Amino acid sequence: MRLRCTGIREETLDVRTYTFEDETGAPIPFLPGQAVTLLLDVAGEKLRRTFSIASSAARPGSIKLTVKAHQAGRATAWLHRRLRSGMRVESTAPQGRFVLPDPPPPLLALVSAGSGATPLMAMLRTLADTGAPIDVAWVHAARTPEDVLFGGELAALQRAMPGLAVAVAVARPGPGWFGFRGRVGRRLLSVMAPDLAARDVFCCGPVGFMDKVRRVHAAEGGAPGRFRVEHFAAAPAPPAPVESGPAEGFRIAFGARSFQALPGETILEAAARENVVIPCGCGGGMCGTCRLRLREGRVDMTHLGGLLPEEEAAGWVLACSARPRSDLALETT
Amino acid sequence: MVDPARMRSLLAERRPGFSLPQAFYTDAEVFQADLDAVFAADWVFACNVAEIPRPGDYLTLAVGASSVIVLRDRAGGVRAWHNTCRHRGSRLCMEERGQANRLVCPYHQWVYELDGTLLHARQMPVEFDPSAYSLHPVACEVICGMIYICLAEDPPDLERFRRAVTPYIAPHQPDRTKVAHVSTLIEPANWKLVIENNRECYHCSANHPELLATLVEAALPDAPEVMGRVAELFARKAASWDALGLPHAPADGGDEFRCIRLPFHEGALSFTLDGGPACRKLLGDLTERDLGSVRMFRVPNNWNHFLADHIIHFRVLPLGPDRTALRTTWLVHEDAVEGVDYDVERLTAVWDATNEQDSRLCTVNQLGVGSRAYRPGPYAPSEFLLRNFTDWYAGKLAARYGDPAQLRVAAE
Repeated sequence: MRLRCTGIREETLDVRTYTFEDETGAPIPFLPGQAVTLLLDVAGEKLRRTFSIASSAARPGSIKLTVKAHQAGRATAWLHRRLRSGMRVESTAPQGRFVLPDPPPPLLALVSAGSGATPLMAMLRTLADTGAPIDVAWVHAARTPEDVLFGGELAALQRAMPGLAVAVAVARPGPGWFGFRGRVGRRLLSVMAPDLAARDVFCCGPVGFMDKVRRVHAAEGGAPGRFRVEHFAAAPAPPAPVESGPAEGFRIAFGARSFQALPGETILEAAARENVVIPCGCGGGMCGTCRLRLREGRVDMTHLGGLLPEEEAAGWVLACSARPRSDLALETT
Repeated sequence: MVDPARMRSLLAERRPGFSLPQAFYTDAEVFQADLDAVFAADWVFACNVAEIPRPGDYLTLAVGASSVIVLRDRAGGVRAWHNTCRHRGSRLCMEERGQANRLVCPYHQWVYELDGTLLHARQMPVEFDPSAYSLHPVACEVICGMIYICLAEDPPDLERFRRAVTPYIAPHQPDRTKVAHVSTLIEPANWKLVIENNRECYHCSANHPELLATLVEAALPDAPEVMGRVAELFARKAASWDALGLPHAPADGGDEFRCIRLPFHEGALSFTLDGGPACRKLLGDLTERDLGSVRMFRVPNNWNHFLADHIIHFRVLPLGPDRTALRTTWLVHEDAVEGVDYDVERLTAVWDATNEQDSRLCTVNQLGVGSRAYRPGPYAPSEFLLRNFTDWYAGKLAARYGDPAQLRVAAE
């Protein structure tokens, strides 16, 4: 779909929120926590970047993407420098499995670091809009007080949501900072959210941060199944298949192209070796960007939630997570 | 009374590297010597501070005929007093544990403040000076929440021990725990047999199926018979603990103490029948579940396990030549909730079973040692820690009853 930018708002020095509408004016249905992948034309190169939606799923007329400009990030730098209200960008439909269940768990903790707050903000805004009487601990870690996201809005939400407790810690506090200070560890989290183990946790931030929070949740006695994280970074590739095929591998027909997958290779690995471009994101079976329709053949696939069960049943596969078990015919739609 | 000459001749009979001559396990006079030369002279483990969390909480323990009150004072400090009234000597506290606003003698109601001072002694004449009748103090030291007491007027140095074991134990924060369960076993055996039984795992394979579900029997890196497979496991775990900054190599405690972190079997995390967690909430500020266990032993009466999710203290007190009390305390994180984070039966199953099995072994050992035919037998190489223990023990007796020449022999 094509999105038209309808507003830009400064959140902090290096974070901006972009509001987009479908250029046809159609609503954009999504689940709180899902993301879109933008296809950006940056200096003649097509860049694909995935951004979590920060706005309420109860307001599908537009979506808000809250984006931090990364020093080395070409795409985010382009957004901040070039994207203006009225401009259009190409986007995938919202996707992802890091979503708030319906009905939401009664005891919730939304734990974020930096711009990881965005998918969690979508969850919180959705909860506020639906008026669910829910006990939410919003736990956020930022570098400095100036980097804290959504402060004013959280205060406003608290008026409507008596069950919303907000705890913010900064690594480098300054005069006038009255919140928590220091880096997130077990001791700090045990005062920011003393009943963390009793809560369903949704966590988003750098990999090291999410790992630390996961360990703290488990160390406090939380059940692993009640801890969910958003994966954007590449994860270890799914395990290799046990079954072997012919020594020369299998033939893959992909649209007009045809190439050979060597034994043990994923579709994506084989394609990359043959310079066949399959759009991809995480490379670890989570984001769903490399989804292809399997028209003929069989694959071994172990992914990490990048496809819905019904999508899998409908014949979709993830190129990064699937290994041929016969000759294949693949398409993009 | 103990006859020093008899003690000297018994010590002269002893062969290092062998179990002790019969009298050391059965004789009433030797038992008295043990109380005087060991238990009244050295530091004795009492309990964890978590057992007396609030001011006025106390615990009593008997070191031979001397009962000691260990209590939390109003300032939150830990103090120890002789459990005997300064009036005519009545025992003050009869319970093993309790809470007292003041210590009041049940006989004539002399009233002592928690700091040991005599507050009030009714019907005493005006010239009576209460300040001359404070409770007799007992030396008391707290190391990472573990309370040690010493009846000696001039207690031996405890700082080397404190410095050596603190880095191993402090990460588990024993002072931020709560008592999940306490058990006391009265074993019909001499206290030295109870300690000797604890110091070796030669007996484990045949006797401790529950314990060996998790415990690696031959994982002592300084044991003479370490198997290659165990050495590889140990090296791998050691590397992960190095990365976490947790010490694991054996501390140099000589014959006095031992401290080491050892791994469980691959995949085992805690002392449970299935090796799975014993408590969902980890101790202190820990976030890593696979920390094996820190095993710390200190003469004469204490060994401990410090795991990621719980701590077990073992306390041995001699009751008679052939009677010994073994008190076991299981501790979990101070905020852990029974039924939510842990289940007492699951937490205690392995060591309850192991204690019972050890108690039976000590019982039959005592019975056999009493035989007319008993002669000291040689320690196996894997029983090297028993040699450390009996050498240390003989040294304590020699220091008290021996002459300098025999002292040197005993130390060899």
